[in-house]
Amino acid sequence: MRLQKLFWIAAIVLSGGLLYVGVAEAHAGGKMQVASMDAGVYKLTVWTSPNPAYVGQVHVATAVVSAEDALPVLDASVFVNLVPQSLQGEGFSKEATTDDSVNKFLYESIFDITAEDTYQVTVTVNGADGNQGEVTFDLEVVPGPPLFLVLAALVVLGIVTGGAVWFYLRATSPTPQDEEVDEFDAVSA
Amino acid sequence: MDPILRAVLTSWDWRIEVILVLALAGTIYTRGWLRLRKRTAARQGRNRWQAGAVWRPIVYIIGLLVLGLALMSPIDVLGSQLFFMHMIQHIVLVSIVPPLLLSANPLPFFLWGMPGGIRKQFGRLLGRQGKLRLALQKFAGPGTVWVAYVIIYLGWHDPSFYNAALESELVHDLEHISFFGVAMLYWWLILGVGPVVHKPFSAIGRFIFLLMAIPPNMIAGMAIAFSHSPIYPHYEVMPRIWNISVMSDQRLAGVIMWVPGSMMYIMAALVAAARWLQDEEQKPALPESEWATDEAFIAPGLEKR
Repeated sequence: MRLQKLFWIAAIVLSGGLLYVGVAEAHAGGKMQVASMDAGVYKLTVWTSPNPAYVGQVHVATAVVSAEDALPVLDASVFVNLVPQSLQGEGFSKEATTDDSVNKFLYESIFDITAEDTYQVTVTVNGADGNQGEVTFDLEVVPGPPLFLVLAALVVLGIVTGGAVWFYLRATSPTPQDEEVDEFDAVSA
Repeated sequence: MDPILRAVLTSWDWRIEVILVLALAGTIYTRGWLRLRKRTAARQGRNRWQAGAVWRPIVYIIGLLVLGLALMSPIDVLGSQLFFMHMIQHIVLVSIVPPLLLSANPLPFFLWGMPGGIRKQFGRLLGRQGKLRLALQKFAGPGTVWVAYVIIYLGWHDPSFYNAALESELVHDLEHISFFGVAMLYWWLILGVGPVVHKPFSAIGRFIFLLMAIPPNMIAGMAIAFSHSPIYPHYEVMPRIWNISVMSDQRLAGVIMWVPGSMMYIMAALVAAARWLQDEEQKPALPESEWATDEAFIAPGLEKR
């Protein structure tokens, strides 16, 4: 009974924790790399996430506002280029769209970075009215957690959850007795 | 459709961990309600306070849906862009969801919605000498909960904590969990639902406890509304929607925190006051012999002259 309880608690905590950390990482606000920087007739603010940026998925989100009245510009074309400063690795280029962003006021692009390096990131905005703007900053991408650690976490989770389910299936579900109804009276107002 | 409005309405953040928790809570509650309704229908008959009353799961599910809206709808997504939207989210988490969830008296239904073994474990934890009951008695009294409420509510509006919450999803979630947790404790004491571990509030006690929630809202709301410069630099670089300037946004946020933030407590305090007056009315009148005497009509302080 004690072992069954331990398995259940471990399974719930592990799966909840892993799920939460995974999802929260994916939705993180990230690090503000450029804050309201002038780019032609626009002002750009750019975030990258996760922070720090790991080899693997890196999100680049850009807010484009009019420099004149700070209103959001939603009909521009935004392109993001990543060039490794060592000039040895692979460069990346992608269009950022509001469709890829949870917040539809931001243009977002998702990159699968394959190598650690310091990348020069250039965000270019082409407005529907023909105006153009550009900002540049450096982004350091560091190695992610080793694959074996991720696999080990998944194996442990699998064993613990499997054990919990096995214990649950083995246990016979007791039929509630009449006196248990009193629990309702004991705990309710 | 106006592109700004479309962007607002389509900014939803479907968070799987939130959906799972809400679905699990709704399933356990409904299962418990169905089981308790079946077991108690015969002996309780039909009255609106019986365990199986239909309004209970309806109110509970509405509470969960409102919680989902607060955590995944544009209210949440645009909270990082518009300060006033973030304040609306906080008010929903602190003043609307907890009374909705708790008025459905969730504990017994949760217990009955869980497998027998777990229900018994919880029953033991909440029994007379149960560890959870003792911990709640010791650490979740009205004084402690009020102090925790004030510290959490005012503390998170400190610029360094607030900015950290806007920059990190983990910190942001911690902020919301602490707001929601302490508000659940506050409303748990006010509504007096299970587990009942403290002496229930008297009507006047409940009235005062409700009013005590208002000063933190007022102080923070007024400080934000009357500030002459932007308090949180994060909002200065965000795209402005509907031509709302940073300062207008900040003033609106302060007013929302101050007025609607206190409104739920005032409304509940009025209900508590009405009950208190009702109780007084129902008390039997003093017999005339006790008050219609010469001594009773002497002005205070003149008795010995």
